[in-house]
Amino acid sequence: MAKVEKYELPDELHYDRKEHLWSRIENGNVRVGLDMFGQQAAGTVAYIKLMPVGRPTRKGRPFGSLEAGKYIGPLRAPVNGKLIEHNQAVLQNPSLVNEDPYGQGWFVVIEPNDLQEDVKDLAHGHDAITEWLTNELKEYREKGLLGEEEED
Amino acid sequence: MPHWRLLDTGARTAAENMALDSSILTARSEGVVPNTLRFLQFSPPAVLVGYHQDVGQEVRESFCRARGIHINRRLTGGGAIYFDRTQLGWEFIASREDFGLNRILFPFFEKICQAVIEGLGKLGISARYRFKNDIEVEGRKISGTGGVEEEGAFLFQGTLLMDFDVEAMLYALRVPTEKLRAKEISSAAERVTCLKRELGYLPQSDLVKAAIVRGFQKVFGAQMEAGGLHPHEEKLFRQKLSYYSSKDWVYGEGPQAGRQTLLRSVRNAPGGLIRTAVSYDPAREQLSSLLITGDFFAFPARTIYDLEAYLRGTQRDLIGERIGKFFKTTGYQVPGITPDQFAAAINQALAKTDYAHIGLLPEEANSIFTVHAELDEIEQIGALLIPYCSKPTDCHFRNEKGCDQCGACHVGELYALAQSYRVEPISVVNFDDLMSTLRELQRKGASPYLGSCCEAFFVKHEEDFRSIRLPGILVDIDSSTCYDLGLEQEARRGAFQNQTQLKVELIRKLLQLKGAAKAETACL
Repeated sequence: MAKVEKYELPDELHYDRKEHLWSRIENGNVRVGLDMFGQQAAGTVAYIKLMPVGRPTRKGRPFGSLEAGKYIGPLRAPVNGKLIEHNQAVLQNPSLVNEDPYGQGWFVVIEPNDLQEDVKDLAHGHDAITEWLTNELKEYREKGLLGEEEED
Repeated sequence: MPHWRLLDTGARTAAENMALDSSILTARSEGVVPNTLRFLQFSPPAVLVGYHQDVGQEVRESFCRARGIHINRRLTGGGAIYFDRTQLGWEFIASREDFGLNRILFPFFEKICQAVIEGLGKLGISARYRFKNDIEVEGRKISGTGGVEEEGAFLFQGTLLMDFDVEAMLYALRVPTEKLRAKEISSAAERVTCLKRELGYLPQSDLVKAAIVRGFQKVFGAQMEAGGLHPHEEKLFRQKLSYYSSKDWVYGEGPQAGRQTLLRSVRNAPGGLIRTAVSYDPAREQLSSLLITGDFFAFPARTIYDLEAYLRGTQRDLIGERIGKFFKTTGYQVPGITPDQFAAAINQALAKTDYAHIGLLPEEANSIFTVHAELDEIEQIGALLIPYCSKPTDCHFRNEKGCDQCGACHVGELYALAQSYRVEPISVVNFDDLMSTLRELQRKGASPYLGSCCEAFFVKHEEDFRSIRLPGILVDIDSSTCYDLGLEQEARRGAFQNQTQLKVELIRKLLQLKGAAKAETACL
């Protein structure tokens, strides 16, 4: 487990550096969720909307949207492929994203077209994750954007 | 110094404004137009639901149609709003990259709100940011906001209340205000303020806009240049307008909030009475909104407004923890009421959702008070207590224990009904009689009772009811009670000269649920 300040990021996951979405590779498929920094920066998630199952996903293009704090942001696919499963529990209770970001709070499962190629640019492994998040926090702090963004 | 566009699109229809939002955001994400501060207004008036909301649940459509109020859906998140000519919309459409943002973080929104706050300051109004993303004056909201993102660009918008037509707003929006009582409506209105109220006059909208522009210039150090729509935006607008006017957009399917239920509670604490009206989403087990009123004192006065805002969206099982945290963090105080007592008041209201599985509607659950046991825990009732005030004022039995079941009022009907469920009907002729009746039932080891009294009576005498160790269910009374009319002393003596209306159908339902099997059925 990589830990930077209060943020914990499991080593075995792959992270999209911009979107703060994690990917867990399971039997060749990719389960996708929001990492701890992402969910805390967003605040309590109020709604989630997901593209229908069966639709193709394109890396970097939205597969859904998320509303938190009255702001709606896109959820961008970490890999090209096909969306094969929704998490009905998180659609019903979006705050699972905040309560259990690496467990029950996942969004979708994607069947990737070329997994090895698409995960190349994702942060993976203890050192890479730690370095990325450390730099990111430093940058946000310098910009004064890492104050009390979340009351919890 | 960055150069931004100042765009004033004037008063337009809701569909036009939504299509413009989308067009400008797309044009900014494509890099065709600069960062833009836009002012907008609505004509005719409009109700706008949040992107993820359901029109049917949020909007009183028949009222809107009759008044010519347009209904539309925002691109941005948040709740439904009523938008007429007395409100000024402001929005900031910009590129994330221009602010070095990989992702949008809340402190950035706070900075945008700060620009509006600066502007309000120039008008002489001392406003401040309220987590998350509202602008308030002394705890009263003056501008709500919402945002959306598209391909590297974002739109962050707010409504500034210049004036406030509380009645139109409450009629146009469905949840939860339609079920609020008159006193609660005035309390809800207290949570909101407007420029007219703060300044004592309605300022010219041009002055307000100029002040906000100066606020943005100061906070972001940007140069503003007035401009019109870019030809690309106009083209996009023409393409998008039919979609944003369509039922597909306005009524389109999306993930929707669960059905909202308005639940109430009233609870005594040493520091005063706590009343809650809780809008609750049972599917998500979340508080959607909350109104806390009562006769307690809070320091500072804004405490309750802040607490309500803080608890919005809270999961049911976290209410106690969050209230504790709120008071600990803010240092605010409500003498004589502990955080636990606030939590208990809210949870008391929420407990009413548990009545659904026994077939009671939320409105019915709101009319029930219980003593010494929750409704679920009471298996069988033994007595039905009927207050004298529900008998006609000229009834021979008005101040007597019995009833001849003459058919002139519902009391006879309830007597017959109670007897059919082997429940003893007992008329209560005054307060002392009530107490002695309850003591006698307790002495006999009777089953719990079902009674009827108004909420005010229950609040005043809750401790008296509790002083007798006998569980009971009390059903609120419909029409003007002695307490509403200021005649409680007369009522206590049994001399209240008015006839109240019992909630007969609810009492019937409770007799069916909690009475013994009907006598004739039992004989089969």
